Amino acid sequence: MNEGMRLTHHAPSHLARGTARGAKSAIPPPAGKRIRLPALFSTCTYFFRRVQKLKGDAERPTRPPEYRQVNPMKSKAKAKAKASSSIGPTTYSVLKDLKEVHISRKLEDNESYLRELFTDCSDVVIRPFESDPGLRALAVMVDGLVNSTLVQRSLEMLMTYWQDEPNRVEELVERVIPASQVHLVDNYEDMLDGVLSGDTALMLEGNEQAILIELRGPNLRSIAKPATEEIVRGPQEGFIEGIRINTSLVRRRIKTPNLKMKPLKLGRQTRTNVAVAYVEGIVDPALVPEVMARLERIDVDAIFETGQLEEYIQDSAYSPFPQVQISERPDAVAAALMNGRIAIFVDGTPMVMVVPTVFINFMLTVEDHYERFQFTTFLRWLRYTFLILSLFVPSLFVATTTFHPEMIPTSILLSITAAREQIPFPAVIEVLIMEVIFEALREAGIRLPKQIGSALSILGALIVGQAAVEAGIVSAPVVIVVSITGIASFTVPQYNGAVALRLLRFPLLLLSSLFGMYGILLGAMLLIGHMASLRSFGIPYLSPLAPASAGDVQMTLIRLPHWLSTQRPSYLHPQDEVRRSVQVKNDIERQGGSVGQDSQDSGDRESSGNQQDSRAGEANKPEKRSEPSDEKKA
Amino acid sequence: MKRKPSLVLLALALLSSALTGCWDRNELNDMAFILATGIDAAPNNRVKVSLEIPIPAKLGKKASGGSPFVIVSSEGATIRDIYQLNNTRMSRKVTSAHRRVVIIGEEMAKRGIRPLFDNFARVPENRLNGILVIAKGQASDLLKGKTPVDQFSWEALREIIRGRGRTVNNVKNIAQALSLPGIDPVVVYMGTVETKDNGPGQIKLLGYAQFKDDKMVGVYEGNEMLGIHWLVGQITPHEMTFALPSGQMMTVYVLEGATRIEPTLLPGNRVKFNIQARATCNVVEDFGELDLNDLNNARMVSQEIEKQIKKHIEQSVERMQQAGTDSVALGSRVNRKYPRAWREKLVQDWRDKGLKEAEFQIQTEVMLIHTGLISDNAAKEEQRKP
Repeated sequence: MNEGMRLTHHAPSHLARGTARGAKSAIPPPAGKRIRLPALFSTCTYFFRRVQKLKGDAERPTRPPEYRQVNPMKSKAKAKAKASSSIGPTTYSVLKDLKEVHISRKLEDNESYLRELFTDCSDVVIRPFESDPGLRALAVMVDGLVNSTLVQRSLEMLMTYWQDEPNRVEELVERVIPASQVHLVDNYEDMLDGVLSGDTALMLEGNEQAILIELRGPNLRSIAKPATEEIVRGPQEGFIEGIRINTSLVRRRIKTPNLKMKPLKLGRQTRTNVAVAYVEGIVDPALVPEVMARLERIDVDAIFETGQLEEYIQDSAYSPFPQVQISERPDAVAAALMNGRIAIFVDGTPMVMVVPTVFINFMLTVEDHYERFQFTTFLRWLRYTFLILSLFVPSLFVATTTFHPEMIPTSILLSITAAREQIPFPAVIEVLIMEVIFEALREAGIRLPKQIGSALSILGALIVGQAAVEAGIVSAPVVIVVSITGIASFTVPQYNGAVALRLLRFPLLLLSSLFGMYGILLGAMLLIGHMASLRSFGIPYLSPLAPASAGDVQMTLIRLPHWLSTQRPSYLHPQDEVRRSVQVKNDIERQGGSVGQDSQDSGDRESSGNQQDSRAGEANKPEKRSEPSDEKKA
Repeated sequence: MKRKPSLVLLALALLSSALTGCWDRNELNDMAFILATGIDAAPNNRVKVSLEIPIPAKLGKKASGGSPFVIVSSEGATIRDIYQLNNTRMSRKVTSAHRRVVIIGEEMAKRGIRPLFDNFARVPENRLNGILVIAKGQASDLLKGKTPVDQFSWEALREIIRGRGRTVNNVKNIAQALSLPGIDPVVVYMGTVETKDNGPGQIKLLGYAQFKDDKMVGVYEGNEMLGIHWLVGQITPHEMTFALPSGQMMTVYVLEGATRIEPTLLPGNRVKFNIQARATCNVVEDFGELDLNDLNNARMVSQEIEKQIKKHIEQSVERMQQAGTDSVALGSRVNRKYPRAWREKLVQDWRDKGLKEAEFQIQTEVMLIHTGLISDNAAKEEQRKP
């Protein structure tokens, strides 16, 4: 049977993919041995089922497609029963399987097949109508995904259309349908894919092709401030859930054909649109195929968020450190692209993933480039200081009070002793209690409805903070320590960057309670060693600090004025290293600023042009003839 | 498979942490911090050690009044012997890691302080930068002394000593002075006095204890103390009050000063010290309404200051020569300039012969600045024109 053939063909291909991906199933694919299949499939699908359970998605089938392999007899019988009455199978695992099913010449067949496919789908509209007298047509669309006004206008045109040779779709496309994006498909996979993405499909009697009219509905949400990355100075718009809007937000900022957006569809069932964006001519040419290869290898049933991709494509699967950057800001993504990084957009989430990412990326914000450089440098150092504080303050407190009291100045020690006098717990337990309570408060604060938020803060601050101290359960110094830690962890600009540090506090705390300062140093060494061994798409995680390169270190420790940092970060291996004009840099350096028209010299023309478009104008750089003399000077 | 060795190592490392038993771990609640130690001589060559230990419950905002510290005294053969005794009496582990002040009773100082330094340096938790003080009378009395402003007596002692114009000698410096033949230590000398307002037992700085080798032989008090500052060369800003020839009193502020001591070897192995002291002074109070704009008056005042400084230096030199103590490292200066003569002829009998026979030539030079051109006495009567 056709159906049976397809299934047997399908199974090993999955298996092969599974082994290629996961280090867990290192068993060689048992070619032909059907007996072992169930066990292997269950390992393969375990994760998907978990996701399914967690997401609680009601629409999805309760059984993953492979499950049918366990008892193929039943499904085969079912397929047999249905297949006779239709042009293609009505049971299939993923949409891709319908690639082979061609659109029938007979409209009735198509209609009945579609109705079978969309049984119990109340949101799908299958609307037969008559165009030319005698020319029967069928419109298929998903209600809510299409722009109904525009679709109605298109159908109106069709219904009133009259011509001699009415049944050629090419003619129709060329002359009748007033939509800009129209294409022809001849199989069910492409058609259904379009329809389910928001296109309207038109089928005509006697045609083996369907017309897909891309008149998609409006966005669900208007562009708003990015909630997780608010800044004071700079653009205030953030990404939304629609991928097209998101890519357009970046395109608005980088107006060059060199900005490429490679499309990709991930998720067997969700068929989520993914776009990989990069600027050709800047990005390391070896990086793009690598990113694409890693993405294409992903074989899951559902993708809803970049975080699901992150775990597949990161270099170290077990590290607590995030190896990709997540941003909600179009300007941040555009700036990253201009540095030679790659952005991955996923439909349905405002979070855009940027790779490769080094640790220092989490410590910087895009606003750093909008504020004055002296102030930004100060802020950066503040962040670095508090980063270290957030990691080490609780463990330092425990280590010094329980192992090295001589390290604390006498007067402070006396007040700590006085405060701790009535506390029944050892210092480490005390700190642990407070840290855990603090993390719980934080977690609750995210989940809590806004209206109750103030109540929680009263509870948290007053009850836990004050009353616990008054009651002598925790001491005031510990409350201070935990508060410092809490505040410090919020100074890390990227939320996912702070996550690893929040977690690593606890092992360090335990180490310090066991070995004192020695334990902290041990932990810090392990931590630094681990970070130094990490890589993100081949880029060492601690660059530009650990494989140090002088120019890049400068950019990290102090934010150089824009005119002064003429090069892109070299650790990303950009194709075009020169970012800004060296001539302008020399001029400004010589004159101590930008002087007016009086001092006409060779670089002035370029400098005025360059100052206008400090960031967005960089897009033009790759194709600009960057003078060889400039590059040499740099 | 590749991961396995590291996993095993990790497991081993984690397991080994359970073996430590947290050997150095001490909760703050179980510790008693010595803030100051007083060491007194006891009969039969024994020592009496008094420890100043804070009572945490009486510190902080819930303090219930009363002294925030307690003095624990006991007698034993050695200092550590007393620690052992204390550990049987005290509920907490006694540690001297925070000891900043060590007080030695006068009697103990006269007996000799060198044996005490063994414990100071041998036990790592002792701070070598703690301040050493010689108490007039019993060290424990000084510890119990009243400090009207400060909570702890040790804190008051330390702050008084570290205040302006006083030579700070910590344990390390004194140990160094004791180990060299050309220097005798001077140690801050403090005691308790009775004041009219606050009754007896008020802590006061009395001067410097004069040591001959490791035994205390006398005290530099008053002017001699100032002279020691000049001779040691540690002239921190301080104020000086004196009478002008007219009998009027004046206070000047010695802003900065420097001393040069140059030894010269005279025939017959006698040493002559050429001492040059230079000072920059401010006038801070002039009780006599002297017109300092008059250059002659200003010159007169600076000459008067020069005389004062010279007098101070002379007095302390006199006391040094009298007792035969080289408190300001004159011997080591000779050693540096004439090493051979020092080694062969002078060192053997330096304190009692060389120093006593030495000649001193003292020159002082004062520069008076800020005589008060603007900040004259505001209530001064305007001069009538003749």
